[in-house]
Amino acid sequence: MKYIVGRPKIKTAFTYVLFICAFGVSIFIADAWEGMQIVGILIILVGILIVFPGISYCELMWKVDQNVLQYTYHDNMLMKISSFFKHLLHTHRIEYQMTIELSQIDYIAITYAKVPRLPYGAIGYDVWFHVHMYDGSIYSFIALTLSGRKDFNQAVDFMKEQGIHFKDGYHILDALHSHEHLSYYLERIDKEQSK
Amino acid sequence: MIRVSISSKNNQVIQQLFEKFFQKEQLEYQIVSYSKNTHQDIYIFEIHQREDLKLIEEQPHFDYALYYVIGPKDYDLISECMRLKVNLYFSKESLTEDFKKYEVTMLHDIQDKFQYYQYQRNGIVSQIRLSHIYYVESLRHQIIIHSINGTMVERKNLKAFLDTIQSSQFIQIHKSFIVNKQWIQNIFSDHVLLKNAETLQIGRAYKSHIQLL
Repeated sequence: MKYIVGRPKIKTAFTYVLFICAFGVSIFIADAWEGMQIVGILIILVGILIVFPGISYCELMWKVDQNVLQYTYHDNMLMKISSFFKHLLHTHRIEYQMTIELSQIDYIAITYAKVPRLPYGAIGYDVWFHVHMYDGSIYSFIALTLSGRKDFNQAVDFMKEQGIHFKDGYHILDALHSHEHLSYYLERIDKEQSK
Repeated sequence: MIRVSISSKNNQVIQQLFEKFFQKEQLEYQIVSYSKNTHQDIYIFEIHQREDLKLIEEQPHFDYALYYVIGPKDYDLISECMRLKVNLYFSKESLTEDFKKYEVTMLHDIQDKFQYYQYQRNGIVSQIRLSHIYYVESLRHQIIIHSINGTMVERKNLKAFLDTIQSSQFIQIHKSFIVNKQWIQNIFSDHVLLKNAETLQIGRAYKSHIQLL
């Protein structure tokens, strides 16, 4: 039994890239003035090589099973691109860069971070996991950004079943189980905290 | 963050003593009252008689933790504490003097056991206890940190890792492996056996490093 939070959004990315490629092809065919064909080719290449992996291979992906909690993160765009194409063309499985043994977890503290959301600069909230290990090591990572609430709840419930203790001072898990929008809930909590 | 747990009836005095020490050495700490089912880094027990040792006996012994006992100057008690693998024994009658005497040892133990390797990127922050890293493997342009908690991949090379940690606890035994000396179980002519039953090859160019151990 395993639960995955955050999956590669290949279909969405494919749709976006299709539009970009169509734009590139139209420029190439139109060939309005000298050099435009090269621009068209460049647009298509950027769409396939950079935009496609950039959109589809989301930054946030974690998986939990009976033994381990795995998290994927990419140091830079190059790593993201190479991991994406390896996943797509070669290994057909996602590479998780961090693997934590469930048996070594003391508790997981849940908190949140206020972050600006592109492109309009609105404020959003990320849910963070601080995984405290028995030996004193701490692994902190973003566990939930905008979507994936259902997968997240299932994964957390599964971890609770495995005996993992959660310290949830802001009652974020309760809010996630309710129908309330998480951003509104965290905004309210944030205002109360700053009073 | 060093997690300290104190079991004592005279909590205030002992706590102040340790707090002063941590502050002087600029160590980040958190002191809590003793509770059997929690995992801490330093356990401090104050004992008055032999029966009080039961508490230490019942406490599961963790290799990564430090155990300090404050008790009367009784050699039977001290030898019993040694049997229980207590790291330091402070005499109650001369607590301040003993504390001063052991300050260097304590600091050395703390640096040895509780030093962190910190990794920080956009969506991830991790602090791994150096003493619990088995070995570090280099694979293409990445390193894989194998620790008691699992594995972690980072885009770095072994030299940069060694430069970051600045620790004599780690030794390079192969162009692709750095190993934590305290996890070495046995050294053979061409490989090293670790306490977690893994074996690592020794590179010919690095045999001289191993011979120095």
